[in-house]
Formats: sequence, structure tokens, C-alpha cells
Amino acid sequence: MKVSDLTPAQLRSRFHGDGLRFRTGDFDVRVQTTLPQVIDGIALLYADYPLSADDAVFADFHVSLDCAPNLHRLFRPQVRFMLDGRAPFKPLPLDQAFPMFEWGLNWCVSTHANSFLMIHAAVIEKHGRAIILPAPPGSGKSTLCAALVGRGGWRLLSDELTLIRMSDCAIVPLPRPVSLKNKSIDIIRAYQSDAVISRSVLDTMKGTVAHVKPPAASIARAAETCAPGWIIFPRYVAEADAVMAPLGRSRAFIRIADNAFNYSVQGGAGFNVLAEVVDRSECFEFSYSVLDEALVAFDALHEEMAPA
Amino acid sequence: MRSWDDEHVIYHPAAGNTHLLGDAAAQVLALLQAQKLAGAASSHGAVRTVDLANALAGYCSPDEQPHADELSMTILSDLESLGLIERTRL
Repeated sequence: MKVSDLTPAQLRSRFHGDGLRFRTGDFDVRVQTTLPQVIDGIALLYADYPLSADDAVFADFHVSLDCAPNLHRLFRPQVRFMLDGRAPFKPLPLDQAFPMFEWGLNWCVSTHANSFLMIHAAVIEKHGRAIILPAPPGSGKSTLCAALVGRGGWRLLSDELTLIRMSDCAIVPLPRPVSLKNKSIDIIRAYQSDAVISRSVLDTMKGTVAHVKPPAASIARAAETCAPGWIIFPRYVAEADAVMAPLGRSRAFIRIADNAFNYSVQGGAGFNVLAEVVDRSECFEFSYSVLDEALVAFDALHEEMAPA
Repeated sequence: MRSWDDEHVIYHPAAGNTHLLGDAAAQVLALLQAQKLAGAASSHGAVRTVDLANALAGYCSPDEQPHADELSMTILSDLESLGLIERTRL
């Protein structure tokens, strides 16, 4: 049963009551809220997510969002994100309730899921091999990711968190809405007219933000792990041709380690896992300005390599 | 340490840091380790810098060989500053 199988009334009832329980990748999440911004955002973008089993008593993350009980509520209400009954962050303006849910859930995973080596990177897959896309904010990573999983037909494993299983270096999906900022929102609206994109929220700490609904096929295959195939550091460069430049594995190693959330926590085991991933991957720096050219360049990668 | 082409990454477990090394630095580390394992080190577990320079000279190009001593000292200093080796006075 999926989130979209619930009527609006049933959905509200769950959120208001014991919580909506759904599965995202390897994790069960329980969300309680009465805020329409969060309910509407989840109804729109999480429609294809499977509900947790009716008899499930365990959830990895117990999340709630409510109006912060401070003086702001009288003239400028704020939203409070809570995990296990505790508020790890300062409240934000109420209009930012849905982005706060997304950021908060990312935080839940990135600070707790230490059975994985976690890289701050998008990750997509085609023909059984994954492309890991580590990049700092502003590099165009999410815009590129949205285009690749939209018109490009790649499977979305994650827009933000690449989860590498410590036991076998498999990449474990965590497909979630793709986060877009500022100009990227209109770029993707224009590039893919059928993309389902949430309402733009203005004046957040990241500027204007909106989220793109992940492809239903990516959600349906969220339990399928895959092998690493490429590590590509993307960078948007105005007016640039699409160029895929080889990068030495040692340099790629250092850069991807810099993008890891818990590399230092994993110690020597993290080094060995990352070395295996790098060893199995071709590494590149990719600069681009035109999304169509980027899609062609990415498809060329797996055409050059035999399927896994 | 893991090596790809002519570059290497090494994990320093005591500090939790990872470093990118060039070929020469990796070679010095390997020589130190090999001499120690082979029992060529002194009773203090140290390796003499002059022996290291002589060994490194064998890996240098002809025009680099006269500077092997200087090169080895620079590399030793860099490795020491990273905490990967320790200098011992005999």
C-alpha cells in the first residue's frame, strides 16, 4: 500500500494521530504533524512511497513538526522539527515547514546511519552501475541530477546522501525528493514540463527552494542495491561545452573523503571501503552548461563499459 | 596505503587523517618499512638518512640523482610534519 492509496481524510487522520509511517530506502519513518504545509508536501511528493506494514511497531525515525511554542506564534509563527521528542534545531518561519521536514530527515539519516559510509553526493544508476556525484553547494549537482533522473531515465538512488554499505561496498538507495534552489527551479520547470515540483518557498537559509517528486520507478526499486561504476565531480560552468575529464583515483579518493559525513567515524574501515569503491570506479571531472549535452555525455559512459 | 598510477593515499590511524602522496614520498615510506621489516634498522628501530638517500637515488632519474640527498630530507621532513614518521637520534 502506498501513500497515495490513502484518501486526504485518511492521510490527515494518520498525521494528526499516531503518525504516518512510510518507508524510504532502508528506513521506516513515522511523521506526526497538523501543519498543512507538511501534509500537502508529503501527499504531493511522497505519493509513491510504500507505507510501513500495518503491524510495524518499530520506526527508525520518529519525527514531528509543529508550531513552535514561543512568542513568535502570536505574530510570526514558526515551525519546530522534533526527533524522538527533542528539537535539534532552532525553529524556522512556518512557511518553511516542508523544507524543514526534508532537511531534518536528511539530518536524521546523516547523523545516525553509521552502518553505511555516507557521502554528501547524488547517486544515480543505469544498467546496474551507479554514478556517484559528489559536489559542493552551487556546483549544479541537484539540477543535473533532476535532469538525469527525469528526461535522462536514470534511476534516482539519492539526491543528497550516497549510502555505501560497509560489509560489501554496495550502494543502498535512499530515493527522496530532489532539492532545487533559486534559478534551478525554473530551469527544471522549463526543461521537464511534466516534472512535479513543490511550491517554491522564499527566503530560506538556502534562498528560494522547491523539491521535485522522485520518479515512481525509483521508489518502486528502492530495495535494489547496485555496484559503484563511476565517481564524477560535476560543475556548472556558464557557456561551457560538456567535458568529461579523467581524474586520478587518488585525487578522487581525497575529494570524496572530504565529502563524507562519517568517514572519520568509520576509521580504517571507512578508508578500506572507500578505497574499494574508488578502485571499482572510473573517475572524472565533468563541466557543463547545457543539460541536453550532459545527458548525452552520461549515456556515453555506460555505452563504453560492458553492463555489470 | 592504496596506490593508483603514480599517486597514493595513506590512512594514518592514530590521527584519523588521510593523505595524498606522490611516488617519491610513497617510495620513502616503503623503504623505511622494508628496511625495518628486514632487520636492517639499528637496534633503536631507526633508519639512517644517508642510507635512505642512497636507496632513493636508485629510483631517481639521472638528472635527479645528484639531488637525492636533498630530496630525501625534504620528503622526510614532510612525512614527519604529517605525523607519518618519527625522527630518532642515534
